[in-house]
Amino acid sequence: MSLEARMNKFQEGLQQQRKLVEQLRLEAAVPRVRVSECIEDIMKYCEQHTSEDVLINGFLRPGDNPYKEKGGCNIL
Amino acid sequence: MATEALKVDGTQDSIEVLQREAEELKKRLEEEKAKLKDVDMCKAASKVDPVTNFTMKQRRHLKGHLGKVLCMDWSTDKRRIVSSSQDGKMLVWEAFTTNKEHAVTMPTTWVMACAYGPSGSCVACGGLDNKCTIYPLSTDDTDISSKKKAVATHTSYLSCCTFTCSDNQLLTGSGDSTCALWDVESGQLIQSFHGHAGDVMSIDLSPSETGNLFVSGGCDKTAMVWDMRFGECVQVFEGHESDINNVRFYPSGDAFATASDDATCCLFDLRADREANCYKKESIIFGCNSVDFSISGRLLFGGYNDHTVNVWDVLKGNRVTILYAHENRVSCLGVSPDGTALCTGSWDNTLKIWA
Repeated sequence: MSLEARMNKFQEGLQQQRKLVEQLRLEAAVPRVRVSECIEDIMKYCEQHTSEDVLINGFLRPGDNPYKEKGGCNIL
Repeated sequence: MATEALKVDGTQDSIEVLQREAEELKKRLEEEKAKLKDVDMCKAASKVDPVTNFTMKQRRHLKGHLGKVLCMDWSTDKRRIVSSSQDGKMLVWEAFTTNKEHAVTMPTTWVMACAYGPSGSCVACGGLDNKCTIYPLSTDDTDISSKKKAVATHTSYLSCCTFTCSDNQLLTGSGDSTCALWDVESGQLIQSFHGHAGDVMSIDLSPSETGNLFVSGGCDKTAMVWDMRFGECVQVFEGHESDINNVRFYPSGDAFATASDDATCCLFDLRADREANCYKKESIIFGCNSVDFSISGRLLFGGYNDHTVNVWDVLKGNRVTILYAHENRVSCLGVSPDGTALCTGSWDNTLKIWA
């Protein structure tokens, strides 16, 4: 390999390494919140929205389920 | 000659310096993230009432594909589903009646990605053709192929696609290890996202109002959070021991779930910048292909290679129930936008609706 080619390769490696360090510096600067605080928020979100989650509660009346098989007897 | 040699040495030196800094930064990051794990999620949620009275069951069976179902997406009207298959077909279903409203034959088999446009008037799909093609859905004309429009082109297969908030922009992920944002009208590339060291398998847009973030997961076992405006990776999440097959944002936008070939699903929190919970069991040894949350974020549905759907309690970390869903691996699943139903797609060539 010529000296020039080797230089280019070094330059390329240097560039890559610089990019990696830049990415890591960026990540290191990310402000972080304690897991307990985050979990608290996730629990709150669940609590606030559970009443509208029909996959947990089912429908108030089974007939409200649009996927319930139609047919059978209808009460007039 | 001598001065040139010196320069080379100088370059080597600075590479070493940079390497040392990278190592130090990595170590510091790990330590900082470890410090934040001050509580176990399952323990923190021990006082929360458990999920009981689980009543979901199979309501519809969608038959019509002649090959493995690879992808599905709900329309925003909560009635329609688009699915794509290994047989080269994309079908649009009316979920209540199970009628097939549209059928499109793609130029190649393995249509790995499909998505419904937010307006409900178009669908996008692609796969081994390395492209993402948009088909307008009209009711008067049965052959929608005549109006198709190729928007995105990658250098390898298309693994996933999704519209951003309107029909005008399309976000794609590919086996060429990049994601890309496209202008639908002009077909031009707006922004590309480089960073994954392996095939990108899945992408999901943040539901939060600012709406500039999306998450991607891939065969490099990492999930990355990106800022769409700048093409910048803002967070990297590691921890899985094998490919990440699917990523899905938590309904609040603060976290996201991953499905991996390592037989686990994880919940990663954006603000903690680390894993918040992991959903696994010794008896579960098959890979997970797809995940989605119930509308409250309390349940996490995972579609697995052992033909089942495991339903996890996101807070307590326990499995609520197993749905013996299909006769082959569950490849894709999604909760309808109003949260009333779950759709699963499988390598048994069919889709099912659970409610």
